[in-house]
Order: sequence, then structure tokens, then C-alpha cells
Amino acid sequence: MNLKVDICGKTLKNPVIAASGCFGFGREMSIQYDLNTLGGIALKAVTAQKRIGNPPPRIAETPSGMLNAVGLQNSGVDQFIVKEMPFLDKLDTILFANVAGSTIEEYIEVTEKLQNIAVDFIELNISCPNVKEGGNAFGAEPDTIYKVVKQVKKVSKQPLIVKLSPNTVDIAANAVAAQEAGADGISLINTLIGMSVDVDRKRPILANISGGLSGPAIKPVALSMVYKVAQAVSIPIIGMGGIMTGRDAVEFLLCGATAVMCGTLNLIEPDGIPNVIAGIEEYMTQHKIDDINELIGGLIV
Amino acid sequence: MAKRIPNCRITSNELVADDTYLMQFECVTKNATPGQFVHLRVTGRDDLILRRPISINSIDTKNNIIKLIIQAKGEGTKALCVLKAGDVMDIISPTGRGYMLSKKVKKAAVIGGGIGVAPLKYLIEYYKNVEFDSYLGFRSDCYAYQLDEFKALSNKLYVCTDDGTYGEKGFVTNRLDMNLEKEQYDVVLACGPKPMLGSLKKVIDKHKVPCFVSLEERMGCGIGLCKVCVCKTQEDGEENYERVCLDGPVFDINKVVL
Ligand SMILES: Cc1cc2nc3c(=O)[nH]c(=O)nc-3n(C[C@H](O)[C@H](O)[C@H](O)COP(=O)(O)O)c2cc1C
Ligand code: FES
Repeated sequence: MNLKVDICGKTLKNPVIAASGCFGFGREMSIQYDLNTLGGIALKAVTAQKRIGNPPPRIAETPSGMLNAVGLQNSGVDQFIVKEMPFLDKLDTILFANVAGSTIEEYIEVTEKLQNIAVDFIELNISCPNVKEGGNAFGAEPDTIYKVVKQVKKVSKQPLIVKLSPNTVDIAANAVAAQEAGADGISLINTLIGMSVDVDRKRPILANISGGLSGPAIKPVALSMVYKVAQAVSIPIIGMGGIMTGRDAVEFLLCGATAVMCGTLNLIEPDGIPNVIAGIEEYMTQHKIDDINELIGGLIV
Repeated sequence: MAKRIPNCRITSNELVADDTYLMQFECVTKNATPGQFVHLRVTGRDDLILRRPISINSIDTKNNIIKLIIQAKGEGTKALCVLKAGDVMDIISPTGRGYMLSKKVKKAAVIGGGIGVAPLKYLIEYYKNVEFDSYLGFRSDCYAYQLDEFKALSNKLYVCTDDGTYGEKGFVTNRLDMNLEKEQYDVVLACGPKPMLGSLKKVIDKHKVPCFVSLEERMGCGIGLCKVCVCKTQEDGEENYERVCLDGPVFDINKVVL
């Protein structure tokens, strides 16, 4: 049975990648299982300078989902390289460095600093809903997407994956803009902007008031966006949003994703991703499919 | 080390005070230190996707039983409280960094408020060679639990209620403040709601005793991945947010901003 997929000339052992922000820099999870069994890891977002993030509470549970408002807490790209890379360097899996920023200059600065670092992909996070500047502001409109992708692409030797926000008017137009600006792939979706209210205290649950919705609740939205984007672009797509099982992952592959990412799953099940991989294998056995690539875009409509 | 154990059988779940349950379940746990917690899925409620952190109240190592005190407060804890003997739970255990006492500690005070009293029992049971005075605060008589056990385990026991229906009327931090005028403790170990810990900080600043507090925060993964569970810390003038689930829940009171 072949589980290998290819993205921009790089081979993933299987199509299941840990999503950014839900896996730290891998260290904590490495005591749970062998990280080399993963298709890849999207690392926590890094910015040019250290950011302390938003005040707590940063999480709220919602029906079949959750809101988060971490606000890009990280020690900055320099510390990332010094503190996290020695551990990550030893892994035999595909690494996606998730790059965030408030300005185009910041995205460029971070990407430049990652040039001689052993990460396989740059994942450009223009879709974080939890910071005041940048983030989603870059990811909402085709012309700003075009601008930032074009500039970052100039300095990036690694293939550039652009992570799109669902908080937009026309996701397909945004994906096309990224492709035209030189993106090598698209990942989607980041979280949906949402709120939750404590009616007894008449206050928002999140200190940030609003946050990003993730988990099973967003899977139908994510699938329809992946499907739309797959119709509109020719570059590979990495799909995510609410994947909890192997069968969920297969849904995304059928809709046109070459690989998938699992985020919230890791917050619930420390052994979640290995179970998703096993679930995909089980599905393939049941359906007598030898090569996972047969599933990609295989939706019958 | 924190590991997922998907099939822990509940052996009993009984009311011990208003809205407060003592849940016992089978689980082989080695090396769980006091202050550490277990992270529970809510059995039968897949729509509540997050786990609930509940600190360890006691461990019966001979029979491999973990005991928890759960307050039926939100939707998830209410659903946990109606589980019955024979029901199965999916847990991650043990998680977090607990109370670590050096060998030099001979005499200590534990101070807890409400549901924060629960982990102090495992703490006293665990450090058998330390002499403990216990300071427990409850809103009212009807919310007090395990007082007999604390009485048996402690050198001295002080109980305060907000309304005076049991023990002394008032805040337990005031009782500690008064006692610190004459009593010497090597360390003070606390767990309770934020306002109580805020008052405790003033008492500790005044008497200059080493003090460690266990914090509560809304959690996601419980194992250090997602950074949603943070508390504000201050060290050498630099402010940071640290993870309550992995860097804590027990912190030096001088390090956290309360
Ligand atoms: C706690 C948390 C933190 C996140 N942090 C990031 C981040 O730093 N960068 C990013 O691109 N996406 C971040 N995300 C979004 C996820 O990578 C993913 O796009 C989203 O959660 C949808 O997938 P899921 O339903 O599988 O979680 C975060 C999500 C969560 C829940
Ligand atoms: S709950 Fe995820 S880091 Fe603490």
C-alpha cells in the first residue's frame, strides 16, 4: 500500500501533517510517539521579535469545537533557530516553518532568516485572526495577498505554501491571487472568527473577546472551501479543519487536497495523528485502494 | 509522564458536599506527585471536545485507584458528576508539575479554598515526614468536605467559612496571617481561587515565607502544546506568559502575577 504523496518535489511518508499552533515545536509530543511516523509537522508561528501573546483566558469550548486566542506567542525567529532547530534537525519528517508578521517587511525578515535553516517549506500565515495588525488583514483580499506573497517569494528558496483564511468573501479568488504571485501551494483553512459569552457574568469568555473557531464544527466549511480552491488552482492543496479520523482525512483528499493537517485533534488526543494515519490505511484496505494518490480529487459529482 | 489511558473504570462516584463529588476510578499510576492533575474526556458527550483538568485528591497505590473531587459547575463537570460505577473514562495522566518539597522541609502549612482544598490532601498524604498545619476555607458549611481526613492527617486544622456556618467566620488567609506572628513554617503550599491567592500574596510578602501556589486556568491539550492555559509571570522585570499545564500548575508565588 502506498501512502506517500508528493508536494513541490518533496515526498511525504503519508499525507498527515500536524497543523501549526497545535503541536508546539514537536518536543512535547515526542514523548508520546515517534514523530518520524508523521507526514510532516507545521511548527508554531514565528515572528521577527518575541511576542508574549494575549492575556488569558485564551480558550473557550463551543459545540463540537473550540475558540482560541493565543495571539502568536513565540520567542522570535532568532530564538527559534537557536533553541528549537537542534532538536528538529534530527527528525526525519517534513518541516513547515509557519511565518507570521504585522507588516510585509516582517514576513520578509523572518523568511530571510530561515533561508539557511533545514525547514522544507515556508508556510506563510496570512490568516491569524487573533492579532490586531497583519494576520487576517493580509489574508482577506486578493490584492494584499498578491503583494505579500510576491515579496516573500522573492526571498524564499524553500517552496512557499500560503495559508488562507476562511474569513473572506471569495476564497477561490484569494487562492488564485496567491498562485499568480508565485505560491507553490495553498493550505487552508485557518480558524473562523467567533465569540462565546458567559451569560451569568455578561462577559465574553475570551479575554481577547473574539477568537478562532476550530475542530469538528468547522469541517463542512473547510471541505467546501478546499473543494472550491481545488477547482480554481493547479498548485497542490493542503486541507484542514476539524479532522478527527482517517475517514475525515479521506474526505479532504477526495475534495482535492494532496495532504491534510490536524490541529485541534492534538489538543484532545495525544495519539490522534497516528490513529488518523491508521484510519486512512483501514479505509484503503476496505476500498481496495493501493495508492493514496488515487483518492486525491477523486470526488464523484 | 503524561499518557493517554482510554479505558479507566469508575468504581464509585458519590456526593460529599453540595455540588461536590468524590470520584474513584481504576488506573495504574506511578510517580504522580501532589499538585499534578488528570485530564478527563467527558464520557458520553462527544460534543464537549475538550478535556477537563482535575487535580489528584488521593491515590490508593495498593488497589490502583485514583480519587478526584469534582465540583459540578459547568456543563462538562456536571456530566462527569453523574457518571456511575462501571462507566469508563478516557484520561491523560499524570500531567503538570506538582509541589516539590526539599528534604529540608520539616514543618509546612497548606492553605486551600473551596475545590482547591482537594489536591492538598494528596500533598499531606504524600510527604509523610513533614508536619502539616492545614488551613481550609469554604463558602459555607454545606460545601465543606473531607474534614475528618484532614483532621487525622494534620498537626493542626483551621477551618474558616465565609458565613461562619462552620469553624471560624472569615477568610482563611487572615487566620494564616495571624498565626504567622507566632508559628514558623518552612514553606506555605496553597491552592484556591485567584482572589484568595491574591490575599495570600500580601500575607506572604509581610511574613517572608517561601510559598508555592497551584493555579487554575482554562486548558486545551494539558501537555504543553497549545499555550492556551497561560498565567502571567514576572522574573527580573521581564513579563511572560507561562503554561499552567506543563510549567505549572504549581509556581513560586513570587514569580506569578496574581
Ligand atoms: C490553539 C491553536 C493555535 C493555533 N495557532 C496557529 C498558528 O500559530 N499558525 C497558524 O497558521 N495556524 C494556527 N492555528 C490554526 C490551525 O493550524 C488550523 O488551521 C485550524 O485550527 C483548523 O484545523 P483544526 O480544526 O484541525 O484545528 C491554531 C489553532 C489552534 C486551535
Ligand atoms: S493546555 Fe495546551 S499548553 Fe497548556
